[in-house]
Amino acid sequence: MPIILLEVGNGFSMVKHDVVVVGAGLAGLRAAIEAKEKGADIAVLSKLHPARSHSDQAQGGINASLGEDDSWEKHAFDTVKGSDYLADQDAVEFMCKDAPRAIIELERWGALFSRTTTGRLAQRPFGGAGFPRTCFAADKTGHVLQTTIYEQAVRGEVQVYEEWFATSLVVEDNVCKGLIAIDIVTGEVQAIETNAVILAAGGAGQVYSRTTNSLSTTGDGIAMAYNAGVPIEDMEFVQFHPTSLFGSNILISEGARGEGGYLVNVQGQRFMEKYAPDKMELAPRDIVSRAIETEIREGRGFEGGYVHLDLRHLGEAKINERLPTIRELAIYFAGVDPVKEPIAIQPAQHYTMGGVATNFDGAASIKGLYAAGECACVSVHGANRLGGNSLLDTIVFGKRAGAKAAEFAKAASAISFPQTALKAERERIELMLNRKEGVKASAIKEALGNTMFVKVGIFRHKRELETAKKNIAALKKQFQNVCVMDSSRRFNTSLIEALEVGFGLDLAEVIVACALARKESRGAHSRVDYPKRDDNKWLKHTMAVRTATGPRLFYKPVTITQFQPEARGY
Amino acid sequence: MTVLHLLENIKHQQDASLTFRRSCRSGICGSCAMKINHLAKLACKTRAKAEAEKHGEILIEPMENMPLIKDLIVDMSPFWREIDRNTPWLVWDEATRDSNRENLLTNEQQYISGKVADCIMCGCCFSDCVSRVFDKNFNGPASLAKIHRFVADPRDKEGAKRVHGLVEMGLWSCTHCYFCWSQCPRDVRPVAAISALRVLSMRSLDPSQGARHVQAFIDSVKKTGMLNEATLYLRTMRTATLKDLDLILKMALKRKAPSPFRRPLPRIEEVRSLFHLCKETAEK
Repeated sequence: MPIILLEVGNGFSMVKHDVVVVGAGLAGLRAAIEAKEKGADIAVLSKLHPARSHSDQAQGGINASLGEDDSWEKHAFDTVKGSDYLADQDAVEFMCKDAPRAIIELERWGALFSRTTTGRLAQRPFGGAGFPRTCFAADKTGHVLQTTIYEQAVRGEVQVYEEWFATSLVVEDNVCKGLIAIDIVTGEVQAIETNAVILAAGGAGQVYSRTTNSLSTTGDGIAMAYNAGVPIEDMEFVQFHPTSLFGSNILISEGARGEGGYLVNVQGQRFMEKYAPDKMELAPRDIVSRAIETEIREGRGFEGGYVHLDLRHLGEAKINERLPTIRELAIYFAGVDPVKEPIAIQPAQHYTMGGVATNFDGAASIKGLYAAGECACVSVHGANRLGGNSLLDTIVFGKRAGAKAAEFAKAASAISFPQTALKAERERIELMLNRKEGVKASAIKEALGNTMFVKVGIFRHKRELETAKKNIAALKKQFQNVCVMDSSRRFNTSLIEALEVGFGLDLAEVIVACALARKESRGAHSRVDYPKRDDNKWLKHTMAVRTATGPRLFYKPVTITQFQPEARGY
Repeated sequence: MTVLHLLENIKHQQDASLTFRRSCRSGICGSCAMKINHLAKLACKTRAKAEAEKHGEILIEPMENMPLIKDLIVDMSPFWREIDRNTPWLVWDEATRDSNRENLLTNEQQYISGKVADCIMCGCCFSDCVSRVFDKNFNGPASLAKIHRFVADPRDKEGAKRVHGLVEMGLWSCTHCYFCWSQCPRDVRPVAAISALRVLSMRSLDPSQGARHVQAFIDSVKKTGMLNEATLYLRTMRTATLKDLDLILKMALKRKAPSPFRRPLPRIEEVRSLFHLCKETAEK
């Protein structure tokens, strides 16, 4: 579809739409389909072709209470308990009630879910769930859903600006008026005027050295909101997935344990019996990751720092039917056939529970700004997300944000886009491109990733967090002098990587500040120096706002409806 | 170490201007397709050592059949344009929009569609497609496979109707070179989908030129044990101009085409039993 540039004088050309979605994963495309159906002039802007989006990587499944004996209330309870009671329960209720509809819709749109012998949608057990309520497409659920939703977006004639990289939001008087983006192919920096922006640009996994996330998952959307002065929420809660391939950190789905896989230490013991005697390997991810890390730290891991995921007892037929990708990934990237040998696994960063603070209409705290998916913090995942709830989050809240943004844009009056914003951004980028010497972005990224994984990882301590804070401050200083090492305009991926690292530094600073402040252990945030959950002081969301001297923190109460906080055992 | 690791190292340590696409690094997003030692592959799924040992070097080039943008990056719009020519979505029953029950479907019914739905749209098959080099109207392996994904899906309202019009998209241009099968990083086997679409095309009420060609081939060999190129031509084209008749006459004179009245080969029953056997096997 041709891109229409409007001449607005002074050599500026401008793209104009009612609603612009940043990100073309599940949340972004679902939002776009909905907004388009509601009659909005909508466009999606993505730094990748939609088919390359990180949603594609999801493996294990998507939750909905479809079973006869299951109910949305049980799903909501499991989600809230999994979140260590930090999730907002009204939002959780909304999501769990909408889940069956959302999944049936995907099935009707063509998603190829795995089936039962009677032709219904099959469901598998997943961590922290009291019921097998995870629908799946073997172990490639994300790919199947992303393909389906992209097909329907093409059907709905959703316009996509492929390989455009958004660099900043344009906000004036607490109103979002558009954004600035680089057309990567030409290198042109463009202004995009719009009544509403929906940020759906994913999480920030790449601030960690060990992560299951794509190289493109760099937190751009969250950072853009933060840089524009919008509060971001609960950034200290970073999920570590228990099972990533040792070394490469490629994801091995929770489906592997859902289908019955064992976790085994060097002594041959199924060690989860010590940490979660009832749920064993199917305890929530924060608990399983801590258990693995403890085994390794206490000398019961294998040399180099890993434990075994053993699938052999499932048999070749079941592995081929339910876990074909896992088998392929293990053979290809670890040289191990899980039918014959156990897989060496270690925990790695996996999901950003925090994000742009929104209500469950997807609305952020300034007018015209929305967020959905991993980029947003509604909050339905609280301190720890359950497996199978992230895909659900994207399609439920993507749809909702799309509808609400379209409504808002229709009612909004004409905006005056400040041209100075484009000029300022062009100058900033020119400066980066033309700097002849300085520190390479890739070096900063590597140092940042290591600091984050070692000092702000599965277990945290004041001392280490303080060191991380200092390291990040030093890296931020280096970044002021970052050198792209390539001054060309056309398809300059070094420039994009440098801008991504800049976003990562901003978010890392916030993660550390929030983690230092939260003097308790809750969900994925585990403070060795404060090992207990403290509901009296800390049953609240952390909000972070950018100031000239770094993040300013304040707190927001948790919405509790039907589930009172209680001890969390599995 | 994969070829992608090598490229990342070069970019970050030696030459920041080296440009390639990459994202998931685990063979699922389809970004890093490029030619490695003359064949299209995903850089993240190709072991550097094995390539170097096999070929004595690692020659890296951008994909074929798509215009170059920069270094290893090609403009994939020709590939996507071909996908978009064919209603690339499931045409679902909008009357059931508010239904609260899923369609009932077995894993077996979904098997063929599922195989093709593994496609990650990386473009390797399109890059290495020989037919596409010569026939710019050829729809390409990934796109034809995607049509078969919907044709084989009982939920699709278009179903077998999708086969109409495929002739104009070069359904019969595929030469069965099997590169799309061998180069697919997800084992999608587009050429098998193309064969299946051809079978459907042959069964349709108004068979296309390609289908008629195949049918004439079969009939001729079944009847006489030989290929009669004159009747083959007439049955494929359906009409003949004076120029065509001239050609046929020349073929007969040069003994390129047997007389239409020629008797079958002596052991014709053996030939016919082969056809019978093939049909039986296919039906099984």
